[in-house]
Amino acid sequence: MEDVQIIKEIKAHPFSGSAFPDETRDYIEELYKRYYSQCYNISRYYGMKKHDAEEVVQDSFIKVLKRIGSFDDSRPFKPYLFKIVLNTVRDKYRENFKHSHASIDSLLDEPSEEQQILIDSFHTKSLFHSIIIKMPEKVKEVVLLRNFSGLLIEEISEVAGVGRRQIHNLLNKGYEIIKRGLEEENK
Amino acid sequence: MTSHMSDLELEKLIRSSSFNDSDPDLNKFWRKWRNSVNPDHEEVYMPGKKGGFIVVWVVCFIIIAAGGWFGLTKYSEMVKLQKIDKGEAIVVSMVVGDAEVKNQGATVWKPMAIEDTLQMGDTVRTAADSYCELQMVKRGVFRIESSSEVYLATLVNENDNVNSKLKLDKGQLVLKPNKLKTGDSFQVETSTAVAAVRGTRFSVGVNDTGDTTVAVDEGAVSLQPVIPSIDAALTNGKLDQTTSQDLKNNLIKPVIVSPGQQASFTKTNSDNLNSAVSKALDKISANAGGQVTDTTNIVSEVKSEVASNLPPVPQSSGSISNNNSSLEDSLIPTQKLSDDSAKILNQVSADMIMSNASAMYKIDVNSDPEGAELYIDGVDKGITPSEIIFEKGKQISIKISKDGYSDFTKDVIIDSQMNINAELTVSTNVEVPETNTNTVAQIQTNTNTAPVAPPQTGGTCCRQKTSGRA
Repeated sequence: MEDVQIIKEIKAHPFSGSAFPDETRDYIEELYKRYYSQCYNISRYYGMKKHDAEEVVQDSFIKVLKRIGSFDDSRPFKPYLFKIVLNTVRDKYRENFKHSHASIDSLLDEPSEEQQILIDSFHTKSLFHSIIIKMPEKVKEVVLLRNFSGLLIEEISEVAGVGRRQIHNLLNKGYEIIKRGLEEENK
Repeated sequence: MTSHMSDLELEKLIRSSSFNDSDPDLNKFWRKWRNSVNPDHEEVYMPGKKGGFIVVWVVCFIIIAAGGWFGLTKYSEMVKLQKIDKGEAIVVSMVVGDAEVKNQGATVWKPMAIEDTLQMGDTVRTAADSYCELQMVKRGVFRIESSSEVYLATLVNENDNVNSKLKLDKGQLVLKPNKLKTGDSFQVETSTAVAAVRGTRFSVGVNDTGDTTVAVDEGAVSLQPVIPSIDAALTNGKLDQTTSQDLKNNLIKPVIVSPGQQASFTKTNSDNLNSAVSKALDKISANAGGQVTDTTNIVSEVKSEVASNLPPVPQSSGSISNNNSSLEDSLIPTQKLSDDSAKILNQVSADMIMSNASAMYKIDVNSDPEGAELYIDGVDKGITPSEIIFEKGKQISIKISKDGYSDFTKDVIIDSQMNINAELTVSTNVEVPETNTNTVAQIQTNTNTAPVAPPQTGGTCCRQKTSGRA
C-alpha cells in the first residue's frame, strides 16, 4: 500500500481522546515499521545514543500523527516525515546539551575536542560513521537523507530547503570528505 | 584506493554501514503516544519519571514526620512519667461530675479528665455533687469533695522531699499522705488556719461561712490559726521581723487533733482573734512609742491583751477539749469524730496510693442499664459508666448496684487496660423503676460530656459518666 493511501486511511479515522480506532492503528503501525530504520539511522548518524535515537523516532511519529489532520495528502509523505525527524533530532540535541551546558551550534558545525570524544563514544562502530558525523550540518543532512531516507533529489531539496543544484554540490562535498577521511585513515 | 571509488560505490558502502541495533517497538510507541496525549495518565511503573520521585519524597516525609511525632509523643510521655515519679506532678485518677483546672498562669478554667496531670501552681475546683481523686504517686492520695477549690501551692522541694502545701479556699479536702520521711512536710492552709500533718489520714473543710474543720482518724494533725493582723503590724512597722515570727509561732499554739477527733476554727473566732490581736498590738506599739522590738515579753503581753479583748467563746456542744481552759482550746474546740466525717475519711486509704507512675491502667466500668451505683472495695465511686485509674497488680472488688436489679460483683486483678461490662438482671422480688431517678451529675472524661439530668430524689448521691452513650 502506498504512503498516500495509508495517510488517507489515518486521516479518515482520526483519534478520539487518546486512542485510534483499531483499523487506524494497523495503518499507523505499518507506516512506523516502514520508516523506522531510516529515521533511526539518521538519528544515530547525528550522534544520538540508541535510547535517544529511538525516542526521536517515536517523537517524530507522534508529531506526524498529531498534525496529520492538516497534512496535505496530495504531497509526498516521506519528505514531510524526514523534515520532522531532522527537527526532532535538533530539538533532542538542544535538550541534551542544555543539560551538559554545551552549544548546539558549535556541535553542529565543527566539533570541539570535548564533543569529539563524545562523538567517538557515540560512534565506535566504524571510522566511516565518525567521518559522517564530523561533516558540516547541511552536508551531513543531505548525505544522510540521500543514503538512509530513500528520498529523491527533488524530495531532499524540499526537505533541506535548497535547490537541486545545491543538493548535488552538497552531496559531492560530502562524498569528498568521506573519501579523504578514509584515505587519511589508511595512511 | 578510496580516491578512485565512484559515488555509487561510496553510497553502497554508506548504506551497508547502517545501524541495525534497534527494532520498532510498537508497544513503546503506543505507550508514549498515550502519555503525550494524556499526561495525567502517565504510566506509574516507568522509571525516571518525576511523579515517582514525588511519591518517594512524600513517603519519606510522611515516615520522618510520623517518626518525629512518635518520638515526641514518647518523649513527652517519658517526661510526664518522670515528673509524676518525682512528685512534681500529680495524676487525676478519678473524676465524678464536673471538675475543672486552671493551670498556672492561665486565666481560663478547662475541664479536668482522668489521666490528666496537675503541677504546682494549678488550681482545681469541683462543682456541686462532684468530686475527684488525685494521686501523688508514692506520696499520697487526695480527694477533693464537692463545691471545693484547691490551689496546689507546692508539691516537692528542690531536693525531691515532699513539701506539699495545698490551699483550700472553700469546700472539703480528704487526704491520705504516705508516711513522711525526715525533711518532708505536708500541710493544708485555709484562710483562717493551717493544718500540718505527719503520716495520717485527715480531712480539712471550709464551709460557706469560712469555718475550718479538721477531722482525723489516723495519726495526728496540728491545727494553727492564721492571724493576718500580725503580718499587717509587720507591714505597718509596729513589729520587727523577729518579733512578728515569735508571735506567729507562740501566740496561739497549734492544737493537736488526735485520731477519732475533729476540731473547728470558726470564722467568727478567727475574726475575733484577729481583731483582738490588732488592738493589742496597737496598744503595745503606742506604749513602746513605735516599733516593738522586745521579744522577751511580747507573747505574754499580747496574749493578756487578747484574753481581755476577746469576746467570750460559747462552749461548743460535745467538746472534748480540756474545759476550754486555754486560749487555744477555747478558740479551736475539739470534738469526737462525727459519723459523717468518718465516712468521708474512709474515701481514701493507704492502699490507694500508687507506687509506680508507669504502671497505671484505666478501668472502664459500664453497666446495662447505666446509672447504677459503683463501689470499689466498698467505697462509693459514683455511678456507671465510670473510668478509674488503678495500679498494675492491684486486686479490687467491684460491686454495681441499682434499684430493682440484682447486685453485680466481680473481683479483678489489674493487669492491663480493662473494660468491665455488667449486665444487670432484674430482681425477682423488686419492682423495676420506670425511669432512672439516680442521675444527678456527670463524670468528666477526656472525650466529651453529656447533659446532666436534674435530681429526682433526695438522699443518694449518684453520678453519671459523660460517655455520650447516656
